[in-house]
Amino acid sequence: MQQYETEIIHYTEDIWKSILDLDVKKTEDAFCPLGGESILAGCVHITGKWEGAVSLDCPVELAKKVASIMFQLKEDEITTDLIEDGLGELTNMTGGNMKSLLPEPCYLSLPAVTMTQHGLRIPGSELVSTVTFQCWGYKFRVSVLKKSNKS
Amino acid sequence: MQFLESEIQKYNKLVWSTLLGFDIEPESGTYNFSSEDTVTGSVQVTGKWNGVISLYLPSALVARITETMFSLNSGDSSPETKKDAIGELINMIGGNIKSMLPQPSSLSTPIFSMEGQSQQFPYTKRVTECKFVCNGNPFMLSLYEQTKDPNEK
Repeated sequence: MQQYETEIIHYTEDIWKSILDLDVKKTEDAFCPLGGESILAGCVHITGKWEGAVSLDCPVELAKKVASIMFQLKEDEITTDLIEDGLGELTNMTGGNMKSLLPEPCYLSLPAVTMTQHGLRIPGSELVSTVTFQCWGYKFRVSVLKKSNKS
Repeated sequence: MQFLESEIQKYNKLVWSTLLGFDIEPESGTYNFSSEDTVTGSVQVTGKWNGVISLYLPSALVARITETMFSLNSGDSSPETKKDAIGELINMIGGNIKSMLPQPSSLSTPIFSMEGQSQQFPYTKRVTECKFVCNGNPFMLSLYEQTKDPNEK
């Protein structure tokens, strides 16, 4: 099992259930966006005694549903800004939970959100753990990356 | 004048000159952030001051930066090397700017987005934007400051 995998699963299930009342489950399927499918990638950085990032990759359609639930609006009322705010919020909570596992003191950055078909790239980091989840027929992915020691 | 505008102009010129041997000049006017051709590199600052430093570059300039940094022939830069080059550049620029911000603050690892993939930073507002030109290629450096703590309810 990957490092932090159990915790990623536990925190992600908890956050999505408590904030959105959605049941999400880990899937062994790979996170492979369909050709041309737009993915929203959220990321928070962690600095201090441990340095790296926590990212959340999510299809735009799922992010829209999340925003609709989170802000209690109909989907056709959801703007791009709200979709980004919603994903930023989820990413922030996921990162905040993961931070509690790390050596202290550590600090959480503001969330960054980007629309991408290639994934958010974080130069100077290496993947520690990634878990794909299933929700409503969509897949999303939570990853933990650590700053590389390469200079 | 915008927050840290003259310092940003000074340090940005210094970094481009020492790291790449490129001369850049400040330029007035706006930059099209949403262009399909724009590549974005950002670093986040966390601590006494919280925000983001972002560099917006046209793809032609990104290729030139990458080729110069890694001594590649023209046209030989891959997405991976571009990511590394822009990551290195924004990391150096960010480090210089961070030293002017309230301390203690720390710098994150960089974030890189390819052409046309804009980066958004909820809970921030843009406080400074400085446009530059390098060999006829305009680009922009912007500073975003936190407006709200995402952990506040």
